[in-house]
Amino acid sequence: MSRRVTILTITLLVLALLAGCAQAPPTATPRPPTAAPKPTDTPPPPPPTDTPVPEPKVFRYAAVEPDSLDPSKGGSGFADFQNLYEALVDTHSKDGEIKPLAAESFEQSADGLTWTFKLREGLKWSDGQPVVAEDYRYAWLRQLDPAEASYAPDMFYAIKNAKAFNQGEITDRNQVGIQAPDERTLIVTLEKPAPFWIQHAGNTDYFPVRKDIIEQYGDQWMEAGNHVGNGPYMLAEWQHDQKLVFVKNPHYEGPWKDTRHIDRIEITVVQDSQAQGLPLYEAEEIDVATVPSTELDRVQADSVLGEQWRLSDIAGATLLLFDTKNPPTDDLLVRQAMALAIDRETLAYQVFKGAYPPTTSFSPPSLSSYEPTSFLGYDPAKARDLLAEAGYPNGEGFPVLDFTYWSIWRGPLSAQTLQAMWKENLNIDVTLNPLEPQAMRDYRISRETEPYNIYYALQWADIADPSTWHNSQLDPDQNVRHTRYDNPEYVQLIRDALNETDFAKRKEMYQQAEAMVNQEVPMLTLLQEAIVVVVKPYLKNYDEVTTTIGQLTRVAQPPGLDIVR
Amino acid sequence: MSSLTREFDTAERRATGRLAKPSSMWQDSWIRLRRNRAAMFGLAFIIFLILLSAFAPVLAPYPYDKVNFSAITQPPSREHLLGTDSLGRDVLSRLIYGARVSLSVSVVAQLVILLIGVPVGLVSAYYGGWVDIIVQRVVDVLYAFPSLLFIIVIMTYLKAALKAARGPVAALLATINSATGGLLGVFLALGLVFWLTVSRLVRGEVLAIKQRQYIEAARCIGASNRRIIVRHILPNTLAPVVIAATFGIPSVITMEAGLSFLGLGVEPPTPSWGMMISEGVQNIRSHPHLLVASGAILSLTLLAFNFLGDGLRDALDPWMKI
Amino acid sequence: MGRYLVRRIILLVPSMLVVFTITFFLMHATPGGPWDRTGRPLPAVVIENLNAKYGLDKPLWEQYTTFLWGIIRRGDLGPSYSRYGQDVRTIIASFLPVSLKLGVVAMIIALVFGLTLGVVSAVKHNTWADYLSMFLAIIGVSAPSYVVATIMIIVFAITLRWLPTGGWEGVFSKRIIIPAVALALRPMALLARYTRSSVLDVLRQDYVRTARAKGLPERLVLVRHAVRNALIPIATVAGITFAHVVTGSFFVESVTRVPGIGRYFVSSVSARDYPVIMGTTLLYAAIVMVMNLVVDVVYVFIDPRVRYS
Repeated sequence: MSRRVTILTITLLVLALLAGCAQAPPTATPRPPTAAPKPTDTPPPPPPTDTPVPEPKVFRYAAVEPDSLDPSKGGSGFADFQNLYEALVDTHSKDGEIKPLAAESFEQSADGLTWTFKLREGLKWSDGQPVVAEDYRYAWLRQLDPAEASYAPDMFYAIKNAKAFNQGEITDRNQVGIQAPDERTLIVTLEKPAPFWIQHAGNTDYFPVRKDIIEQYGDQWMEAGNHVGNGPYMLAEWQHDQKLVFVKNPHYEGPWKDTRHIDRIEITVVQDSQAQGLPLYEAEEIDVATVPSTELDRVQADSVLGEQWRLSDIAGATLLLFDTKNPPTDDLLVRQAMALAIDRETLAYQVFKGAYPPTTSFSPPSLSSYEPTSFLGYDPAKARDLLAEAGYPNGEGFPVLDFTYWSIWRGPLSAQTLQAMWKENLNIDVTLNPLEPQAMRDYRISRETEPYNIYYALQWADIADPSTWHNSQLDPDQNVRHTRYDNPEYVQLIRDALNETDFAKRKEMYQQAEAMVNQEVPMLTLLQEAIVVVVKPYLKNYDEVTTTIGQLTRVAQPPGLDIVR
Repeated sequence: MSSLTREFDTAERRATGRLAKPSSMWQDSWIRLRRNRAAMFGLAFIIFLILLSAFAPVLAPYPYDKVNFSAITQPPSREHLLGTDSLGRDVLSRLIYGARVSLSVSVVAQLVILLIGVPVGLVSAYYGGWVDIIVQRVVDVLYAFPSLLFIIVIMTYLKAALKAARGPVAALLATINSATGGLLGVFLALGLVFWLTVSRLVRGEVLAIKQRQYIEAARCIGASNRRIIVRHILPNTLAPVVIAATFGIPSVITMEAGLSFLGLGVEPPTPSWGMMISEGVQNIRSHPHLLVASGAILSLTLLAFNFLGDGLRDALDPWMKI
Repeated sequence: MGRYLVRRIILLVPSMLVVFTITFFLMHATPGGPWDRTGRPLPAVVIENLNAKYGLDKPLWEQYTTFLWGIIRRGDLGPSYSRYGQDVRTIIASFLPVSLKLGVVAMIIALVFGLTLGVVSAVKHNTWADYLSMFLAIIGVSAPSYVVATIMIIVFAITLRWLPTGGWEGVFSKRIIIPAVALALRPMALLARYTRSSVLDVLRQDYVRTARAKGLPERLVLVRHAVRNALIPIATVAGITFAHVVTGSFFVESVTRVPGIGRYFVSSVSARDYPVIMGTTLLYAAIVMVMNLVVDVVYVFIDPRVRYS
């Protein structure tokens, strides 16, 4: 009796709480179902024999929730939708050659200004409609449309009138150098000879999209059930903040048709793909996971995981930028001394446990501008000499520098390490100035007019071409990285190299430019970008289907990812 | 039983003294507090922490920012009793210096809280009427603000604003901020959020006290409002405020831990327990000693403050005499 | 009572307007903007285009009125800046129910264990049972939820393989155990403390002494008189705690991959996703204010002394 009163009271209380939350505005209405009608969600019908039905091969991994599956909203380096679309050419093959993909052929005119693509016959979208050249043209012009506000229009700026159209100087999209004279022909006219441009055409920014679908569904077009792609796989399910499921695209007729050994791709959405993948992997819930540097010691020592981990390079690096017009970093000797005082081996192998290899030149090794001989490696004695030569023997009289960096990820550890190294090797002090990431963005943009000393940054290569590293970071016109480095010889060199069509000569020019950066240090690289992953032993060809640019996992790329138990 | 005799003892001791002083509320409370073993443990531990942070330079075996790249994330050993962290720094030394950070964050934040909360609550309740209505509306609205969101916004804003500071006052604040490893922002952010509870508490107390006859008497003999507030009301609200402040300190310390987890806490290389815990969680499987050391001292500290708070409440609450 | 309720509900409107205004200017005063989160630094022209597309190039007062008008007219704040194609209303509608369900489960755990611990420690005041209960309660307060959730995943999901590492399949699934327990610890501890002091308070009242004096068994004294009356102040605490549990689950939801609204409270601020910041803040404020109102109304039912006029 008495106990019942208590229970009743508690129940009432809970009910009251429930009632309260039910009234809380705005009312919670159920989301429309996201599951799509999917003809190939199930494995192909079993053959009429006694052999058992093969189990569907499911590839599982973890990723952060995509902001969108729209190629115009990704930006480079964002790649969750890579298996849903097919570019004209494959620029990420392991041998470095550019191969036809959706285009059966592509050729460049003698003057290097015009590219002509011929689409394969019989290509279809995942809803069975034919893929036509206009689909590519529409998608690319959409990337350039200022009203669309896409993330990567500058990836198209080599195309004739593309920049003017994007910046609103011309409004007629027909003046942009992208033409589709018939269903299978796409002609691209460039502003200047740009031998690197074809590399862009294989990137996620250059994926085609369907005009009618986008017009029909508006900004809901990439939801499961609405989305239509031309890739080897198609979107079957997207439960926001939980998971994405891709299945084989039944209408896919492209060259990777027969290397689709995987039937189904399941992506578990996590908040932090670096830290949260490994627990899932160890609980057998996913097949591949990223290993954060903090776990590397344990993974290497583990009897099981120790056999399954590997490090793959990513074409990118963490950088330090110097203000080359603000004392004391305007002094070449000071910059050189600071560069020589950095012990990258210790940073890479002690502090980050070998998760990111030390850099050996300004560019990543996969770019042709890579030139390690001119690089200023660790030499504390020479660093001290140079600093003394600059007028600061044993660091005396050297002002306290301000060092700005992100307060998350690798920022704090890197910054504290550098602070300690400069103190020990040069006896100079730097103040650490951590900024939260979006505040760091404001800081970067305002460096256009504000003086600074040093800041920390991260850069990934957008394409396998030196222009992505030199011209987009050090050309005085680029307005992204403000080192104010303006050595006229260097600027001329990279501008000439950009449009040089002779590849051997171009490589030589960029290497020459690279040597100048290595020696004059307007910017320096610290650690190469890399990713340590653990891969289950039953997953075959994992290394063959991943790329160094943009960290893509293209499941159907020959020889094709497979599961063999 | 034993408590009764002990109380009698003290009374007798006083009586045998040359001048029998009337036992004040605080003296009585202190006697009651001393009898509470858990509270005394709490108090002893807090004094220990205060000594630890005061004599940190003497007690810590290494400087808190002494980096040693050849001894990174080592387990406890003879040289490093609690091991080393991701930059080879001595964990024990960082915990000792971290006591400074965590204690000063909590004490200063509590002061900010009291400095805002007590006057607001006092004035609001004492004058009543439209002053009270307006103040209570404001408090209600601020109450409905997500405190974490509020703190993040204030921290982000302060951090960047102090960096870009121009003018003498802002420059002074910026200097204090960088000298304390970005603590100023944490103080202000936490203080600006948590004063609400205190102001409500004080208001409630004052509303009750206001009805008492001695206030009426004071007013009759022509005491000014100011005098009534300062001499008669304020002292009587002190007990709940002290209790609230003691209980408030743990939440400020855990909040600082949460901010560190989001990259908004103190700035490196300043050690704070919160920052050490978030580093410990990242390394939990590879190097559990990092989390064990910082987690243990944080829990002990919170335990100590809670025990003391409980003891204070029992001791200061006059009804507990029975 | 009716008129009191109406007045309280009407008062919600200006309060929400103040919350709206403070949030609006606070978030715009915070350095950093919503774009440029992908790692690749965006060119200035892209940022300009994006600002133009979402109206961020307009004067602040105009953005303020647009936002406000959107809420009044459509009950919506427009599209999220970081989740393309989703507007604030969809985000709240999809993720709030998850947080509510998780919060209710956590709250039930907290209530059951918190009340039990609190009553036990009050009745056994100053004995080892009291100290043990309070020790447990303090551990609950002091262990940050993300530490607890991380340790639980390591122990129960990876080492023992009893539970999945996370995810969400509704209330009646074992996936809810880790997040619910991790989330329940803190409110449980708070409730235990409040219950203890509240019961202690009631036990000193005259009517309890009377009940004892007339020879009522101690158990009945406790249940019928003490606990029941002690529940009144606890209702206040429970109401506000529930609001905090629903909205403050950022850490637990991230670590255990629960698709709830809690993590949006933090991620929207870091991403400067203004509409979502505004939406989640207003949501939180509404929950807290409504919860306060509910608590006040519940008072009338559980405490006959309370009358509103």
